[in-house]
Amino acid sequence: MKVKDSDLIKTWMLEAGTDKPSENLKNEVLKQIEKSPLGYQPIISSYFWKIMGWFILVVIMYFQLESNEPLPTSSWFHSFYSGYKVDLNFNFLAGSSPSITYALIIFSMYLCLSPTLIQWWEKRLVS
Amino acid sequence: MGDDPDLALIKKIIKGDARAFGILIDRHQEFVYTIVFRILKTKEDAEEITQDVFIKIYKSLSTFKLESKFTTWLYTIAYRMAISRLRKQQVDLVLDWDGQQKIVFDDWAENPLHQLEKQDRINCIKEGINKLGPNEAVVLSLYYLKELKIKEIADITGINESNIKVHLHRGRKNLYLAMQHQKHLQ
Repeated sequence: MKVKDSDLIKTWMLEAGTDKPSENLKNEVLKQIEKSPLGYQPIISSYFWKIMGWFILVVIMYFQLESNEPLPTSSWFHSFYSGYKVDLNFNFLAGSSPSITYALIIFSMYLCLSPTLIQWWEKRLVS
Repeated sequence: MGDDPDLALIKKIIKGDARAFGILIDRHQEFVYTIVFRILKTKEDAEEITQDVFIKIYKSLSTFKLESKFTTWLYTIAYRMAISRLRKQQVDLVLDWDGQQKIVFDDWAENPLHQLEKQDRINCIKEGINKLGPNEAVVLSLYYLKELKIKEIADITGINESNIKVHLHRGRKNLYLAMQHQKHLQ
């Protein structure tokens, strides 16, 4: 094969161009990906796990505080904080009215959850 | 790769925009189909594998490194899936021959004379390309149609650069001979 034939091959290749698939290829693909989620998607979302965690925490705190009695020093709650040598006295919560206690719990819960909720709204707005 | 035109689309797809994936398919389906078809030589198989390529791309898009070139990744997947199907077909063909002594040559037994009577010049060239080996056809397509460098083709196919040059040379030579042969037949 001569050198000049290389240009001829290029001309042929460009002339032949690409092959066209059937028109419904795209629709077929889109139909199939509708059935299958993008990448790994957990059955229970991370948001749900966080909400569940906070809910469990609220329930535990509720049972700790509902008796309106001073927290026993032997409770796990007390021992956990005393382990870190932080002198936290939660008895003020037990002495206060239940509505203030719940409001404080819910407020702290949403305060901690707010970055997650912001992320969630951002994602919804983008999509 | 900040100037990769597919990057914005990919980001949208990762966020769940299926329409963006439709645009991506529109953009690349012809060349992906071309690569696959030039390896497998049959429309049905090429169509099926092209679909599978895009589904695989969609599913593993979250693993795609945004700093790399999307087309290189896409063509690599297309090439590997087509080659894998070709190998499977070759195994099936051997098994079929050994076991039942029956091979359907529908895709192979095209009468060249009959074809040439009704096909135009472009179809003649495509016929010539079809007669090339899978690697020769793919290397020629990537080199001339996408104007990729030898190194990029080597990255896509996983074949080393010196062998790419061999495939390129053989591809040119065989296409030339195929065209000469068709010219004689005409």
